[in-house]
Amino acid sequence: MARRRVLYGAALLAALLFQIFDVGYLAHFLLWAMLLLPLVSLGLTLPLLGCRAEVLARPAAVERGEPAGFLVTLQGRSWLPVSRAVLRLHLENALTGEAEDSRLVLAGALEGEQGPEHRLETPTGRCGRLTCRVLRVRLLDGLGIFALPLRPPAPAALLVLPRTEPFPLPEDWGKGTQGGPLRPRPGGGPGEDYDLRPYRAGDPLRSVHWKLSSKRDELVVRETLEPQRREFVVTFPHFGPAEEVERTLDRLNSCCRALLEAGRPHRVRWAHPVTGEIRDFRVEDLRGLERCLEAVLSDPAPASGLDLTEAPPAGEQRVRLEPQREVSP
Amino acid sequence: MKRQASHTSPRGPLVRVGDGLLLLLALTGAAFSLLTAYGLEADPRILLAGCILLALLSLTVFSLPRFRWAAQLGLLAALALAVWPRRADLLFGTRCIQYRLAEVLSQGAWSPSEEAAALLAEGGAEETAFLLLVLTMLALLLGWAVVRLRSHWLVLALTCPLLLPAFLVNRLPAWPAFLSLLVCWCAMFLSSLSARADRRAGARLTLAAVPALAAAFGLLTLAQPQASYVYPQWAQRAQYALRSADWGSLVPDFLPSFFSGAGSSSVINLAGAGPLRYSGRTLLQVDTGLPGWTYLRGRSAGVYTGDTWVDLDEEVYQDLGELPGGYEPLNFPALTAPDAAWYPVTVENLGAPGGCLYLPYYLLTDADEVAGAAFVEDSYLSQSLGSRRHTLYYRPDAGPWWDMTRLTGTAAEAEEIYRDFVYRHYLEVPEDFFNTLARWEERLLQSVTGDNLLLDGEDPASAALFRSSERYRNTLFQAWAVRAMLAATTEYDPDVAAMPEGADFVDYFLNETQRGYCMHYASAGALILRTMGIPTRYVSGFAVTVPESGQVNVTDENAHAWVEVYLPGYGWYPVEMTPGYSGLGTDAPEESAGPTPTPTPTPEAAPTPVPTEAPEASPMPDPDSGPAGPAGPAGLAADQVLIWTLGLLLAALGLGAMVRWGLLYRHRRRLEGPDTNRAVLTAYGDLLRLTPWGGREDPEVTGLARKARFSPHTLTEDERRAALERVQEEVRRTAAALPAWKRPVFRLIWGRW
Repeated sequence: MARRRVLYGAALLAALLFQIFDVGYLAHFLLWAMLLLPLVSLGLTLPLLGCRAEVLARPAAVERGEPAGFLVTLQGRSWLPVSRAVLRLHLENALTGEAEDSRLVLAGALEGEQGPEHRLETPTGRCGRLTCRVLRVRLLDGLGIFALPLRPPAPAALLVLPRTEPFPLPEDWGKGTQGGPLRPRPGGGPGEDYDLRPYRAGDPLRSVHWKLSSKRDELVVRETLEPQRREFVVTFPHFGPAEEVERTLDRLNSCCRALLEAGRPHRVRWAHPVTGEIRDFRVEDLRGLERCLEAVLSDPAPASGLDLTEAPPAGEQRVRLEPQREVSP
Repeated sequence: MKRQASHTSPRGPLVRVGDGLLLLLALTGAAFSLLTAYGLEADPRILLAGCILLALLSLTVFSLPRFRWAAQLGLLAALALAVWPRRADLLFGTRCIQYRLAEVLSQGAWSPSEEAAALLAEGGAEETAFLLLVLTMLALLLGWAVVRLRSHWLVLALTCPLLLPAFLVNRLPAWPAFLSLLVCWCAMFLSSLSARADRRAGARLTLAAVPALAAAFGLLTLAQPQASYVYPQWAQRAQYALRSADWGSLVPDFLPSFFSGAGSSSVINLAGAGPLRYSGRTLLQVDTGLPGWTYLRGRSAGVYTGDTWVDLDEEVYQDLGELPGGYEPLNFPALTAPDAAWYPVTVENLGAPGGCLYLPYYLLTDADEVAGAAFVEDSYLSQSLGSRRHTLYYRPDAGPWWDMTRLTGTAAEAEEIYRDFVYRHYLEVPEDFFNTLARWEERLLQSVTGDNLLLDGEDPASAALFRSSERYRNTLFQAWAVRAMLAATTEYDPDVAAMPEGADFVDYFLNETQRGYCMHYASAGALILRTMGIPTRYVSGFAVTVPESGQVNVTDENAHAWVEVYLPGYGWYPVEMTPGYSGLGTDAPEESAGPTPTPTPTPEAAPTPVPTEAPEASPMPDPDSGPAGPAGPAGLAADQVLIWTLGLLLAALGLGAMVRWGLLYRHRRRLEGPDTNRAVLTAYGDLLRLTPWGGREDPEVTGLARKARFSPHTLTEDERRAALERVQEEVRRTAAALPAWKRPVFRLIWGRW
């Protein structure tokens, strides 16, 4: 809008010079008209201060390479149109750290609640959590001279998920699933292994160990235990060259889906590559997998970083996914 | 990165209403501005109805989704068929309008002959018909500009030039008509951003902006009424400040008249008479055969208002009418010396303001001989548009001397009638002036002694006084005495401050500051002489000493003011009132460099034997024969060459920019037009033309271009977008790869991408 401001400035200067060098009324009137014009323009823009900008991710999640974008809209109830709204946007991929600033211009009538909109196509060649943040919204008057600020909307996020590939589960992943820790069996029932504990309100009466209760002079409950399957934990390095990280994430996504299809809930664990903080998600269904992937894609993936260091505890079967292979310690 | 989000929508009724309103405003504004600014006699009711009808027709034609050109052709054909039987009337109307335009634009220099006057009296209906024909063409052009292109620049370019000639001769159209145009221009500019993105949004803003702007400008008209408008003092001060700055090295002397105020003007603004500042710019070039001190008078003013000198009211001149024999009062003095030698003087206006000719006294050239100028009442010679150089003839020895010849015959009769007029209108002073005079006289009696009023024999003025006719000696002595009394009671000061707002100029000068310069002395002198019963008027112009070469460049430092007294039987005679200047054409000004006192200039040799009749005037001599200024012919020629070179360079640049804009516009229309195949082929052509710059052929664009060229299918919007993006990317890449010195040239040529 610098061009319009310069243009208006030149016109005002011309009117001023005309007034100075011409004694006629026309010069005087034109100078006043030039001064009045921006005020009229501003007056016609003020009712638009009630409109608001909004950013939506459409769709909210896509696989890598599929088209996706953010829909930026202006909404309001004014009959007057928006001559021009300039939005400064910041687009950032949390995983890769790539960021881009852009400027978007919206203009048009506010049709009821719906106003001018623009679909901002985003690059989906790399996985990650893309966040579109509106840093600044300026509403320009009809002449393009004044820029009135509007409140920036909440940021929107879009997940670019890793691809899903066929992932044949290795046979040895099914072995050694027994020997896990003993856990109370839901509903109780008969069993060789059991544990004793004080009575808690709600315990069925038939679980009360009456003999021992009479000896201890307090209610003791006999809780049947059963051996659990060993916890299957998928780990992976959350750093490395970009291509390797992409490959690893593809394999993680495929692996988790294959495990779920095989009816095997599991855990996904990794270390934050910068802070070393352990991230641990239990994946029991697709929803859980989405939550897990969102967390994975929200952490940065630098070229080098911290990895899981502790040894797998007993009762846990850990598999480490690498770009080209799986490692079962 | 910048993205432009467009939100296009189909045209609806709202868009048509908005466009129709703009068309109506532009058309009625233009029609009634033409009507009133040029004094046309068309019937306003028919014109208004015609404007409404034409606006609707134009809107309909240009809103058609297709066959617009056919509709336009059909409309024009129907119009041609309709007007063909009445072509004689239209020709008649054309002639009437030509006469009216000539009358207005010549500012009275041309007046219709009897035949033309008869035509004008009968041609009202024909003028209306011709104006409607012109408006039809304008309506089609405006429809194209408003409905199809939505271009505020084009609307401005179509309507503004209609009024410019009127503005140049200070003719304003009827205010509502002008406001209508102004509202249209402003509303289009104000809604241009919205309309570019979405026509419906543009229409909404237009419909809101038009009443808002109309209300704003209406209120502005009420708040700043034309009737009470006074040129503001701040503008006057700014004008002085700008003029006093040295712009010579920065701004060539192209259009000097807009930037020069020294000289004469229709309204002498006394309120802004502050310290004198000069830029030294040349305003006139004078070439005369007679060296010596001379006045070059511009306009005279007869009415003193307290802070201005203005012309007499037009009505009083209507009462006077034309003098017998068509004599002009400015010619009377020259007629009193029929045997005196005459001299030509060529005056070229390089920037002196006022729209008048600056001419010497004792003018011989009469109304029939003057060309490129016209006598305006008894006040001045107006300069016609486009004429800058005039040659006039005068008799410098035609003073009110003892040996002058009395006017006889029709000339005497004309002078007698004019004398009555002068005594009726050039003796008026404001009522309060007598109080001013009384206060001044008290001081006068205290400060003036006999020595002040002693006529110095060596004063050139005294020589003129003694040579004057006995009939006028008393008047001239009174004028001389007033000048002497003013000199005794006041002090010449070119740096005197402007008077405070609301004060009376002469009262403030005589009784408060007692300091001033020529404007102060001439104003005071004129009023004092009027109280003494001597018809007097204020004159502004230039006072200059012509060197032996006869050629002189008159700068703004030569600007001066003096008075003219009316000598019955002779005419207006200049009297100097400012101390330091010697009146009656006898002395040199203090401020002029190298004065050459030449009392009562007598020509050394007449160029031809004394003619008995005025010679043929040649107001537009060959420019090559123009005089050279003091700087010498070589210096002047170098300046002219520089100015012409710069002017041509600027014109070439402007032309180049226009051509480039046109090419870019055509290219953009091809790329964004409805024909996607053509757009892709254009983009492919651009890609090929990139090759010499280091561009590479893109297989995808080539494939799309082949498809566009050879396939029967039409390319989709996505394919067009893809091709354009690829070419754009290639242009960017090519530009980035170029060396820095080559890149600006590349951007200049490939700016379209």
